[in-house]
Amino acid sequence: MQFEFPAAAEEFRTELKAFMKEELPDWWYSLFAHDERIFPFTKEFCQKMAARDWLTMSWPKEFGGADADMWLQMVVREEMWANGEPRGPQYMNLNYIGPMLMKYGTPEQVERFLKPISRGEVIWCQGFSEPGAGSDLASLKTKATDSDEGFVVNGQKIWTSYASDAEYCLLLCRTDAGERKHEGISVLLVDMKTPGITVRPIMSMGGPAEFNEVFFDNVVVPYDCLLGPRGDGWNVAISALAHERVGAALHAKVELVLASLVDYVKNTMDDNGQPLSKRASIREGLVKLHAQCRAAKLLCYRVVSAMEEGNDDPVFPAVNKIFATELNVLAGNIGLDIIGPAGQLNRGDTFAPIGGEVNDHWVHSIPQVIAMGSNEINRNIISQRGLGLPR
Amino acid sequence: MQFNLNEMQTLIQDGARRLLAESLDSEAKRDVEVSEHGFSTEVWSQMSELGWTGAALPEAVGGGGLGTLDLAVLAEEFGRAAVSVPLIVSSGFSAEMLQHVDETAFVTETLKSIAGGDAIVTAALIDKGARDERSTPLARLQKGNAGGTVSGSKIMVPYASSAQLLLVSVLTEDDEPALVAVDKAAKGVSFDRHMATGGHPLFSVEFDNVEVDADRILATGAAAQQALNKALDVAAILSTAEAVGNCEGMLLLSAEYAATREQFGTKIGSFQAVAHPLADIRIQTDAIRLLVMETAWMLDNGKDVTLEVAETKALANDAVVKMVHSGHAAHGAIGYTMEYDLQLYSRRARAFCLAYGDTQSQTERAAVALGL
Repeated sequence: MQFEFPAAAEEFRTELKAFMKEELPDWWYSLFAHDERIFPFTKEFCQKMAARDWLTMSWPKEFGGADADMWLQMVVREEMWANGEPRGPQYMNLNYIGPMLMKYGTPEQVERFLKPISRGEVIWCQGFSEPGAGSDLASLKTKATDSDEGFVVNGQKIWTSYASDAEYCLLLCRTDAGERKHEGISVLLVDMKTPGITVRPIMSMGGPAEFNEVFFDNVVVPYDCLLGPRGDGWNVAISALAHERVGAALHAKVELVLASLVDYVKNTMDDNGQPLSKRASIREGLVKLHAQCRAAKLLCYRVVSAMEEGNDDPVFPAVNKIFATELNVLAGNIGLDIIGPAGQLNRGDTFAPIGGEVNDHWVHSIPQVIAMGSNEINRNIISQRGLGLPR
Repeated sequence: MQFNLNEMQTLIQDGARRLLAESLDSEAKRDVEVSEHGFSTEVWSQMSELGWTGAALPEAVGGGGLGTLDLAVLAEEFGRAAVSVPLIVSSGFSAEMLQHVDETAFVTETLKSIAGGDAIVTAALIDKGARDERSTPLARLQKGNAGGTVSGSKIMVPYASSAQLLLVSVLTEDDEPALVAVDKAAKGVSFDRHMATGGHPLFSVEFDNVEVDADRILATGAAAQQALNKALDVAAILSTAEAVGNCEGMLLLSAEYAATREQFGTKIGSFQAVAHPLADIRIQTDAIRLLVMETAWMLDNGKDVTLEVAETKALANDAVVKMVHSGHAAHGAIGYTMEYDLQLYSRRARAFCLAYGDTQSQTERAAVALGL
């Protein structure tokens, strides 16, 4: 065992931090804020990353990567997540859409879809969930039928992040009848400009920008946009979801929130002129957060280390996902309770302590527990595949 | 960043797992708890033959030159088998403490006998009437021309009946902390066995004007405090490794039970109300193991680990309590019986939370280290 990043990764971290300081504008806060400037900025930012060979650095050279060490890639994940993910939606490209294209794409698909990803030019969205298919994803109903021009897609997707700005959609739909619900599903690579696609934003607790509904009304998708074997899309998608769960360095944001809270309690006095940091319950909460944050980091690194060795034990990413997302929830809650009444003021409010960042953190911690495979589904993975419990 | 055991650690893990499986069955584990010394002296002598008692000591004193991380791998195996031996107190706490005091002939000899398994050296730290290992000692050292005299009453002293030497925390007449080595056989030393939840042999020890030579006064003042802190850090981390093993053992039992026990016409492990708390044991055990391993690694690499030790122990204490009860909940009534093995784990695990730093005290230490 060895618990240090390679020296090259730490050097790279310094370089990357300097780059971010240079590139992130004053108004930048987070991908999940409400600001029209966000998406255009993230695209520009990705192209600058790509120009330095940083955007898809851990990919093989033949696919537009730089064959970089996984730990350099981890540094990117941590620094980006800690800074509100200025790559924007493109983190998904790197984490699983790209790897999926590498694994299943034809040479033509690689050329057409993968290369623009490594150049930072395109946003993809994920057409998985449906109103009737959430955790039970395999019961999805969006259907693709055959025609002379290609597949004709009809149906509805929901909770589709970034759909309004995406160039492409990674669509999971039913192309064939199957005996079991997992059969007959295929993955289609859909151009979002195709006639018949309607995107409708969903107002969520996180604002208007986070989620959308996407409607497919006789959308024609050429046959050469089928990814992987027809009817075996379930396995194509599942192989990618494990990558999705390590995608974000979810601990990196908690580290920042914790640092803000430590600073806040040391410099905020109670009625007796004592800093809040002297209160036992506050000390306990912050110690708990610090310890769990360190654990979350190690659990995340363990997944990366396993991936590096080709170990695809599904328990490691499931443990990591649950621990990290529940840590984010805990951080939001401990933080709000430390701040007290003004904790609920929105980010940017003049009277909001720590700029309302803790409140913002809390709001965005809610979907984390649900997205990327709900924590219940991940606990099922641990129970069944890790502990050998029956279904 | 690398998470696999190295060759030596794998050897230790495999060897310990095999030795413990072969030497003590479930019944024997119960028998040794109530035996004369409260642990298997046979397993202990096999361990010293294998060099494990001195694994983390320098080669110069006959040790294996390994580190705390390697010892943690070993401690976890003892936890996983629910077998208690004086490893943590003698090869962990005492060995560490003796390496942070002035190197005298006596200290070197003592380290050699720990390494060779010839002596068990235990720690008498908690005074009758004091709270824990870090409280200001109530026992006294009266210094004389050729040494001094130790008086006081200590409780919760592990393995006293089988130990040759006790490391005792005391206050000098100037109210300075000091550490003294006392022969168990010295005149004025007496002890009583006490039965407790964790199943380790615990003793109260009386020191009635026990005369000690000058070279037995190991450290005084800040040096004594520092040596004690270092040793308590090592003991806290090793005991957490052992608790991780306890939890792993509980999880194995619980998962097996939930996968076979039927109620309502189905295996109870198919109920998420049963399965998910067990998944949580997996999550928490993995998290704490990684914290232990990283902290041990940092310790071995000479880094300051005050915060890491304190927060790891505090978090582990909290998590272990929950895991103990989840294990029992999964089992239902059978887990409460003495006949079933779950109690071997849950008793040890719960007792762990109280020794070498309870939740409040470790939380407070961590808070200070965090700058709060």
